[in-house]
Amino acid sequence: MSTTGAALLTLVVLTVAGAPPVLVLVGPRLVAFPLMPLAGALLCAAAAVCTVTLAGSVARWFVLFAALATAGAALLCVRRPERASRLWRALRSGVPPLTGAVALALVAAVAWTLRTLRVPTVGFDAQAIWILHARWLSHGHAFALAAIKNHFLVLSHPGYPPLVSATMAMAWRVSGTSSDRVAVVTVALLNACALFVAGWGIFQVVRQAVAGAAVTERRRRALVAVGGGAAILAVLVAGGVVGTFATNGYADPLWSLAAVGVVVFGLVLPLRAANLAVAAVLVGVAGLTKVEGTAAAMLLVVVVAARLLASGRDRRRVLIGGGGALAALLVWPVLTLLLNVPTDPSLLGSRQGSLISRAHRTVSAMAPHLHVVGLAALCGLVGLLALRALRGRLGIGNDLWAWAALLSSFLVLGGAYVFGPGNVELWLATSANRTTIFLALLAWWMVAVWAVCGACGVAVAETRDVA
Amino acid sequence: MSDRARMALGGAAVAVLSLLALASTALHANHSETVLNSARTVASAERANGYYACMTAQAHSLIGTNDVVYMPRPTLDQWATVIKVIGGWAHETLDLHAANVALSVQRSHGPRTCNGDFLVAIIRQPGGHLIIKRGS
Repeated sequence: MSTTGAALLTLVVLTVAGAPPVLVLVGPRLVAFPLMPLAGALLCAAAAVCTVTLAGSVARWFVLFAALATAGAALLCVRRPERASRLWRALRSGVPPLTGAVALALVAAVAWTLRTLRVPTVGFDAQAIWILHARWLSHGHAFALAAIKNHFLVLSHPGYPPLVSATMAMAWRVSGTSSDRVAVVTVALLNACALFVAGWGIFQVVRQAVAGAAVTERRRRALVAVGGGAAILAVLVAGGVVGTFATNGYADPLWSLAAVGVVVFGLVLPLRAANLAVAAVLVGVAGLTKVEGTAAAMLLVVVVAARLLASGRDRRRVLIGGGGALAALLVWPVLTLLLNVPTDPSLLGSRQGSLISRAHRTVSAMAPHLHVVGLAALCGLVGLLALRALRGRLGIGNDLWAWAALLSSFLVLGGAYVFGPGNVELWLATSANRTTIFLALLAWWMVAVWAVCGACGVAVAETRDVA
Repeated sequence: MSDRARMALGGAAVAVLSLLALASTALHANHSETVLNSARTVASAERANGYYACMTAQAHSLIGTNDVVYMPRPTLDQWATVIKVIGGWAHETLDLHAANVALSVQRSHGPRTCNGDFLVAIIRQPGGHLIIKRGS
C-alpha cells in the first residue's frame, strides 16, 4: 500500500472509532469531522497505556475502547432521545452554503500548509522517540514494558506520553506497511485536523458575533467574510510558525494546536456544552501527546474551570469535572513513576548557573519566537479601551482568559528551563523553537479574534440598533 | 468622543492592524514553506533516510531476535544512532555480562559503508567463543 493510502486508511479507522462519541457530545457540527480522528487517536493512546501496563496489543485494546465508546454514545442517545433526533435533523438539513464555502477554503488552507510533505523528512526526534516507541508498542505488552524500563533506551525519553506513538503503531497495523514515512504522514494528517479545528474556532467566533449583533444582512455577510479570512490567514500563519515540524513526525505541533483549540473553544467561545466537549477532546490530545502538552493541558483545565466558576456554574459539577480531567491527565505520568521508567537524561544532574542567569537566557531564547505576543497585547489594549463591552455583549469570552492561559503556560514552560537541572543553554538551543510554538500560535489566534471583534465593532457602530 | 465613535475607531484600528499583520505574516510563512520544499532539502532528507535504512540493514545482518546487545563506551552520537537503528526491535542492555553482542559504530572511507559509517559486532557464541563481524 502507498504511504498516502496507508495514512488515509488510518485516518478513516480513527474517524470511525472517534465518530460516535464526538457526534453525541459535540453534535452534528462541521468541527466534529476533524475532531473524530483526534478522538480516535485518544482511544489509541488509552489503548497504548493499557498495552504497556496490563497486557495485549494496541489493536485489541483500541477495538475494545472503540466498541465501549460507541456503546456509551448509543446509550446516551437512548437515554436522551432528543439528542438523537437533533443529530438526525441536523444531518438531513445539511450545511449552509456560506459556511460550507468557508469550510472548503479552510480545508484548502490547511492542505496548503502540508506542502512540505513533499520532502520525505523523518525528523530526529520522530525517529529517536516517537517511531521508536511505536515499534515497542507494535511488539505488544511484554516488549513494550521491557523497552520502556530499559536504561539503555533512556535517550529516547521512554516516559513521554503515548498518543503519537500509539497512532503510528495503529497506522502500521491497519495498513500492513510499517515504514517510518507512513508514521510521519499519519501524524501530519492529525496535525492538519487539529489545525482545522483551531482555525474553525475563529470562524465560530464570527458566527457567534454575527448572531449577537443587530446588523444589516450586507454587513453580516461582510463580517462572515472577515471572519473566514482571518481564520484562513491564521491557518497559513500557523503553517509558518510550525514550519517543518508539521510534516516531519514531531509531536510539538499536535499538542500546541490542540491546546490553541482548547483556548478558543473553552475560553473564547460561549460556555456551551458542545464547545466544552470540543475543548475536552482537545485537552486529552494535548495532554497525551507530550510532557509540555500535559503541563499546558492541566493549566488550561484550571483556567477553563475558573471561567466556568466565574460564570456562575454549579461549583460542585465544575470541581468534579475539572478534578476528573486533571486526574485523567495525571494517569500516564503516575504510571511511569510506578513502573520505574528511567528519567530523561536532560532531567538529570545538578542545575548549572544561577536562577537569574538561567531566567535571562530563557527569555533571550524564547523572545525571538514570541514577537507576536506584543502585537496581541497591543490589540488587547485597544480592544480593552474600545470594544470590551461589545465583546461581552456578543458572547465572546474576555480576552483576559486567553491571557491567563498564555501567561501561565509561559511561566510553566519557561520555569522548567529556569528551575530545571543541567545546562540550560544546550537545553534551550535544542528545544526553545518548539516549546514556544503553542505560545506563538495562541498569540496569533488572539490577534485573529480581535480582528473579528474589531470588524464587529465597526459594523455595530454603523448600525443604529445594537442587540 | 462618543461610545459609538470610539467603537468604530477602535474597531477599525484593531481590525486593520490584526488583518495586516496576519496577511503579511501569512505571505512570509508561504515563502518560508517554499524554501523548506527546495530540491536541496528533498535530497538531504533522502540521504538521511538512506543512511538509516543502510544502517538498519547492517544491524539486521549482525543481530538476531534472541541476541542481547551492549555498546562499549559509545559517544552520544553513536548511542543515539544505534538506538534509532536497533531500539525498536532488538534487546539491549547496559550490562556487559548480560549481553552476547557488543555493537559499535565505526567510520571508514572504504566501500560497504553507510555514508562512511558501518557497524561492527563482537558476538559471544554459546560456547564462549568470540567472533567479530562487520555489518553488510
